[in-house]
Amino acid sequence: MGAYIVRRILISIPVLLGITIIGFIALRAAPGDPLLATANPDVLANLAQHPEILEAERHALGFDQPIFPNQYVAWLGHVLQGDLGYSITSHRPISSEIGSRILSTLFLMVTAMTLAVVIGIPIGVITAVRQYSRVDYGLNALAIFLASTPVFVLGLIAIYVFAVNLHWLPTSDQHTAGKSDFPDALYHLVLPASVLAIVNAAPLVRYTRASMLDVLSSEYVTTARSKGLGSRVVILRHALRNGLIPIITLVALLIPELVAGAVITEQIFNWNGMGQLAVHAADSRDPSLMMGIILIVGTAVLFANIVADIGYAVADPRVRYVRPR
Amino acid sequence: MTQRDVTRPTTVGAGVAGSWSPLADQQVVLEHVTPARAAFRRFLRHRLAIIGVVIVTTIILLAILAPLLTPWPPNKIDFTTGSRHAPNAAHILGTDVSARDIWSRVLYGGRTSTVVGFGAVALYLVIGTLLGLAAGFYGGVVDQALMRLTDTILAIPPLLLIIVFVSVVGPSIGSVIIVIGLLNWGQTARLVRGQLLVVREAEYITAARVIGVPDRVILFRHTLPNIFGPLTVVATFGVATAVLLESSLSFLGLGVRPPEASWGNLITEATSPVVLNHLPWQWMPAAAAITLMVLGVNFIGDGLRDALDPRTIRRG
Repeated sequence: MGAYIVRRILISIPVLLGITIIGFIALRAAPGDPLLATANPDVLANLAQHPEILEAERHALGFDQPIFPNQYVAWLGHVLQGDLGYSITSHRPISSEIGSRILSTLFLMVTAMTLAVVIGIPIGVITAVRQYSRVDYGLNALAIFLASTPVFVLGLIAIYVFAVNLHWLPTSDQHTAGKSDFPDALYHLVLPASVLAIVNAAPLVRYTRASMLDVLSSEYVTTARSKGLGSRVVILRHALRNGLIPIITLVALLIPELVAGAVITEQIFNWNGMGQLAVHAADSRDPSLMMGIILIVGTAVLFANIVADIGYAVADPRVRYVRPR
Repeated sequence: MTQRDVTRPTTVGAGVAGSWSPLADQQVVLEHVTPARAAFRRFLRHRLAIIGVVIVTTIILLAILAPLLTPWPPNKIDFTTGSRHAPNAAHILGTDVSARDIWSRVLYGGRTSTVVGFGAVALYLVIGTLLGLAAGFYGGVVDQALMRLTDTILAIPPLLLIIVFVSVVGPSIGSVIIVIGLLNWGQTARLVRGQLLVVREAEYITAARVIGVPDRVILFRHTLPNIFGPLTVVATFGVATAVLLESSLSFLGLGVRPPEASWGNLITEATSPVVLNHLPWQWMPAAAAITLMVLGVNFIGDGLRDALDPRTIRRG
C-alpha cells in the first residue's frame, strides 16, 4: 500500500510541472512587454527617452532570458522557496492574495461536493433499483436536464426564486454587513452551495445508476436473491458495496468540473474566493497572480485525485497490483 | 453469436468482446444489414435522440435564417422604443439596455453558439486524432511523451486554463474557438490511441502490412474508419461542452464581447439586480436557448452512444 501511494504521488509531479509550464509559457509569450505591466505608466512614459534604463531593468528582472527553461526555472526556484511573487494590480504578495481567499473557496466547494454526494448517490441507487419505472424516467430526465443547464443560469434562477421572490435567502455575499458569526455565514452559504451541489449531483446520479445496474445484474446478486434474502438486504448489503467502488473515481473526475462551477458560482454570488480572484486576474491581465492560481488549483486537483485513487485501492485491493506489461 | 455477425458495430472492437448489448443479439437475423445501417436504425428508435435532433435542427435553422425572422439587425438601436422596453408588437421580446431588439440578439447569439460549438470541436477532433494516431502508431518514447502531455491537459480544470489563455489572446469568437479547441483534445487523443492499439493487432491489419500497404494508408484508410463510431459520440458530447464553455466565458465577460451577441453575454445583463428582479424577458430567453441547445445535443449523444454501444466511452 505504501509503495502504491508513493508511486501515485511520483506520477503526479511531472503532471503538475506540465500544467505550470503550459500556463507559464502562455502567459509570458503573451503580446506586450511584461515590463510595462510591472510599473506605473507615467513613469514608463518618462523612461521612454532612456531605453538603456528599460533594458537594464528588463535584464534585472530576467525578461531578456528565454521563457523556457530559463525564466520558468527562475520562477520555479522562487516558488520552491515559498515566494509566488507580487500581484501587478494590488501590489500585494500573491501568497497573501490567495491565502485570504482559499478558505472561503474550500468552504463552498467542500459543502457543495458533500451535498452532491448525499443527494446524487441515493437518487442514483433508487433509479437503478427501480429501472424503467416512472420514478426512474422522471429522476433521470431531471438529471439530464440539470446537467444541461449552465451553472450561471441555475444560479440566477435560484436567486430569482429563493432570494428575490420568496425572500428566504440572501442574494449574494458571504456575510450580512457588520456580522461575522457562523450561523450568518451558513445562511449565506445555502444558495451558492446548493447550486454548485445540484450541478455536480446530476452526473453522479447517472454514474451511480449505471454502476448499480452493472452490479445488480451480476451473478452473486442473483445468488443472494435466490437464497431468499430480502431485497433491502441484497441491495444495501451486497450490491451497494461493489456498486459504489467506481463512484470513488467518478467523484474525483468531477473535481475539475467542481472548480469550473465554483469560478462561476463565486462570480454570481459575489463570493470572495479563488474563482473571483481568477476572473479578476484574467480581466486585469495579471500574469503572476494567474500563475499562482494555476499552481494552487493544479496542486489541489492532483491531490484530490491521489486521495481518490488511494480510496479506490483501499476499497478494491486488485487496483494495488501493478499489471505486468 | 457467430464471428460473422454483421450487426455488431465494428467500432466496439476486441476490447469489450462479449459485453455488447442484448439488443445486438436480437438482430442476428438481419444478416445483410451493414453495421452502420443497424446503428442508424437503433438511433431512429431512440425517442429522446429524435427529440434532440428536432431541437438542435430548429435552433440551427433559426440561427441561419435569423435575418428573415426579425426586421431588426442585432446591433440596431431603436431610439423610438427606448431601452429595456417590455415585449410589444414591434419587439416580441422587448429591448435591452441599449435599446436593441432581444429576439434578434437571441437569434444571432444562436449563430455564435453554433459556430463556436462546431468549430471548436472540429479543431480538437483534428488535433486529438492526429496526436492519438501518432502516439498509438509510433509507440515508445513518442507515445510516452504524448500520453503524459494528455494526462496533463486532462488534469487541469478546463475553465481555468481557458480563462488564462483567453486573457492572453484577448476575447473574441475566434480566440474562444481556438482556445477551447487547443485545450480539449485530451479525451479524443486517448480514445484514438486506445482504439488504435486494439485495431493494430487485428488480422486484417497484419494482412495489409504483409501485402505491402504503406503506413499512411493503413492509418487513414484501414484504421481510422474503425474509430468513427466512438469519435462521433465524443464529438457530440463535445459540442454540448463547447456551447456551455462559450456561454460561461461570455457570461464572465471573457468570451464573446458585446456588441457581438452571444447567449452568454445576453445573460450577463441579469447580474444587474434591476434586470434580475424585474425584467425577466431580458435574460430568460437566452437562458432557455442555451439549456435547450445543450439538452438537445446531449439527447443526440445519448442516442448515438446507445446505437453504437461503445461501452468504452464515458461522458467526460
